[in-house]
Amino acid sequence: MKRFSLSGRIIGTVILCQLLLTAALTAASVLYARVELRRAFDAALEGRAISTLALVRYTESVPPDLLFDPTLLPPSSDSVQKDLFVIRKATGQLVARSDGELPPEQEQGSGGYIDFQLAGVPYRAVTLQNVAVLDDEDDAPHPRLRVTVIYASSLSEMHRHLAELGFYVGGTSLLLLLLASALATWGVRRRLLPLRELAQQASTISASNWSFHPPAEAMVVTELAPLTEAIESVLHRLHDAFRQQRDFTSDAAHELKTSVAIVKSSLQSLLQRPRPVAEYQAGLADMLEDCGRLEDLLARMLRLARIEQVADSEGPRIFGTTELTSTCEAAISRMQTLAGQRNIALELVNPTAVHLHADPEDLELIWVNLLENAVQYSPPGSKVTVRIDREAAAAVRVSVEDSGPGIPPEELPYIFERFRRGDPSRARATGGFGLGLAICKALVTALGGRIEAANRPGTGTRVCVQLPATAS
Amino acid sequence: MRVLVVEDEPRLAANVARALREGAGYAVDVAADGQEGFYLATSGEYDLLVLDLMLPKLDGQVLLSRYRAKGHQTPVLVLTARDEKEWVVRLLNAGADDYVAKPFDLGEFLARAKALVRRGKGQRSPIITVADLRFDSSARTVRRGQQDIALTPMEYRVLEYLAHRCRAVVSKTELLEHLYDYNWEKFSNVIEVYISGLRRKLDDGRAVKLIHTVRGHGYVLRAERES
Repeated sequence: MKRFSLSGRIIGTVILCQLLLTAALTAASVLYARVELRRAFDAALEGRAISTLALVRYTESVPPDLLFDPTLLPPSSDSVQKDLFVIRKATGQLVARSDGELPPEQEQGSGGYIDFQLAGVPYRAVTLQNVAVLDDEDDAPHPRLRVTVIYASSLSEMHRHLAELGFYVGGTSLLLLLLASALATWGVRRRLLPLRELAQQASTISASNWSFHPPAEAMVVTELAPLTEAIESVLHRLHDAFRQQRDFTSDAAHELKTSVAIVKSSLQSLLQRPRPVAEYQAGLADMLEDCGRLEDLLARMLRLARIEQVADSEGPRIFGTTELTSTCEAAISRMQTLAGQRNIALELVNPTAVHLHADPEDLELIWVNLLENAVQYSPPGSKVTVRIDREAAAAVRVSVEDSGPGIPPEELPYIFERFRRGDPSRARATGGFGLGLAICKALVTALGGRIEAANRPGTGTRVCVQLPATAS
Repeated sequence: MRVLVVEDEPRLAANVARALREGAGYAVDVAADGQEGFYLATSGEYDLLVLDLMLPKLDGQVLLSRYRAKGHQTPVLVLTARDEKEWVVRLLNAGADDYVAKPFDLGEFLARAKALVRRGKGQRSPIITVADLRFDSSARTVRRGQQDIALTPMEYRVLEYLAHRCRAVVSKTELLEHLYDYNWEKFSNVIEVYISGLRRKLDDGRAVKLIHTVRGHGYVLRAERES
């Protein structure tokens, strides 16, 4: 889409409105003036007709006739176009007429006002039909003689006045419009300044500078406040995500560096001086073990990254139906060896046939990670239980309980974070890396479930996983 | 010389300790967490602390600050996986003397450790000369005049300590504290065995004697013509 200027549009709209207003104002004032001027014109026209009529007098002959005294003719209303008139008796006999002649079709009169053109000049005529001729002397006959007066004046002067009026009103309005436009332009630009400052502020945000100080003006503008708040909240969420990512990278780097440091120092200390073959062999075996742990760390990190990436990009995944109990059993049998080494019993309580939409390998991985954790923290000779509870038609809860030392209350909110672990040395010694629970959380979240950990009253920890099940 | 390694990663701790024992001939104690590390560091006599930062129970940086707050002057070499500038600045300001970033080179680590031990004893050069005795702590050789002298590891440790504190009287207790790690039973009479061994190898048949007994106080390494 083409770029356009918001202030340009606002200013354009304002000017257009003003222009329309100006046009309407001019038209209205000209129309009004025209009506008023015509009324005045008509009154003056009638006045002239009557004045002209007054110039008709009776002769002293018997029977008296009519004569016209043109000496007192009123001046023409128009300085250029002379007024035209005709006075006739009722018989049609001409009494008087102006120098200029009315067009023949107007000679008979119409009984009222009428507009006509004469040689391109607009005229308006009034007809005084059958009016009695008065005389200020007493010798007027009875009944009095009657005449018809047709009097016409040019409208051009009035039209010129109207045109001048239109010109002045329109011109003044246009001048005012120019002034108003300049004011509007300045005002709109000025009012939009906070928007520009906001953009300026927003443009300084970068991966290294997350501070966003919206201009105080932007916060009090009704239209800008939602935008400012939206920017702030987006920024906040982005910053959190960014920080989380950076923390992950930094934690991952820390773990990787430590693992590499172990392998490297093992190699260098082995090479420090000549040693018996047995010592080399023991050293190499150790290093193989270290490499295995490094591999494990990498595999877990990639797994976690992949789960989160899939969750971020594809939205909820569609899975086939999986039977829950069998995945728990599979996980228990996988953990049996490790548990046996520590003399810990694994028990599945309340196995129920529950189906849910999930990948069986994902489910098994969740239980394996939870069991691994439980077994690591349980005292030898104790029991770890996996309990399946059907919560509702469409929900199932799996709890893994151990009799370990529990989780310090201040650690509880964080145990599902990456690289978080209660006792780093111990977790690392058992290959935990603090990623197991984070993987569980990512998997459970991807399945639309919830995971929670709590200390059991007395001793031990309970981790509950709630998952949506298919109705059976 | 005696070093305390505070490192929670057992394999890394073992490797570092082995390097210090074999590469520098130091006595080494290892602490696996911050609390134990702080206890050992404040209760024992050490010539160097090697400190990891990510420690269970007590954070390495907190340990360092507390240790310095108690007035201990022992040099501290920090092992860290973070080498950002601000982090290093914070470490040095907390009282660390030097740091190596993981994954470090064991040779560089040893060189830095030795340099810190030297400086902690007021010596700049790895070669300490007393009369015609030339003690080289980097090559771990001892010469008198033109003659190379072969010492047992324990004799070397005794001489190393005396050489770093040369011309000062070192008590038998001090020697014991700095020669053995925590696991050794300490018998004061074995010191005399090493001293006599050193005397035999360094001083026998020479006009200028170097190792002297200050009765009731201890031993001193200095050039003294036998009267």
